[in-house]
Amino acid sequence: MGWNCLGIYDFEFYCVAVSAPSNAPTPINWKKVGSCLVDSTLNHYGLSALTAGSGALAIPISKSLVPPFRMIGEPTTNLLSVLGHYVEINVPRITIDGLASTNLLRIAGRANPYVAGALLAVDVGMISYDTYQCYQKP
Amino acid sequence: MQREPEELVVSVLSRRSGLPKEKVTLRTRLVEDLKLDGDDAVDALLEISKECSMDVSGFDSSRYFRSEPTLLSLLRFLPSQKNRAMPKQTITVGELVDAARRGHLQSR
Repeated sequence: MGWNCLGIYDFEFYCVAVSAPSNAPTPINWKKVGSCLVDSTLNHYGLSALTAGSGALAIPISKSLVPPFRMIGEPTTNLLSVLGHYVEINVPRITIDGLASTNLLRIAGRANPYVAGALLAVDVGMISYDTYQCYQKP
Repeated sequence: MQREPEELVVSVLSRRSGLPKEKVTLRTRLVEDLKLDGDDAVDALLEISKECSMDVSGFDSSRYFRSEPTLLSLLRFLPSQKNRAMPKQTITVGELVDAARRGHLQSR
């Protein structure tokens, strides 16, 4: 086994063993990664279900499928907003741009896609971190 | 007794926007001043059209009001998608009152 050293004259600061097993990269154990990923996802089931639910409520719905809006509506809407047409729960006027409405379901429908995006980011982050921690365990 | 179109339009818009009737004039804009946008504005137009028997089939709301946010709205954070989120044309209370009197609402 040979050595590659970094230094000046007899002062060698750093040496690595050439072709030594300790220098070889450890191959990724994909089977373990898979089982860790499944375990971590199951551990975060609640958050994942919340993310999926929130995302489902934010799926674009074509207004051609919603009878009251068929004539003059925008091309798409979301489920909470459609419900807001039938069930009007009035709240004090909110003037924040993008959320402005007096209908509670409309306000929820406008905030929901961004909540779903944030939940997805947190969920992916937590599952990734837990998968990494699980993989590092011997 | 049937109400005057102006009184009816102001009453509907005032109730749906949560603003007092005194603040809703003929020059008030629906999106910018009343913050009536998206499906809220469409609902208000549908109510006015029902009360005044106003034909709205020639009105393209997508030119005046923004869409309700969906998962696709997250793409609006990208610079190339930003302009799509902006409202396009302005509609005032006066234009709606005129349309209610004529019996039909048409896009400009």
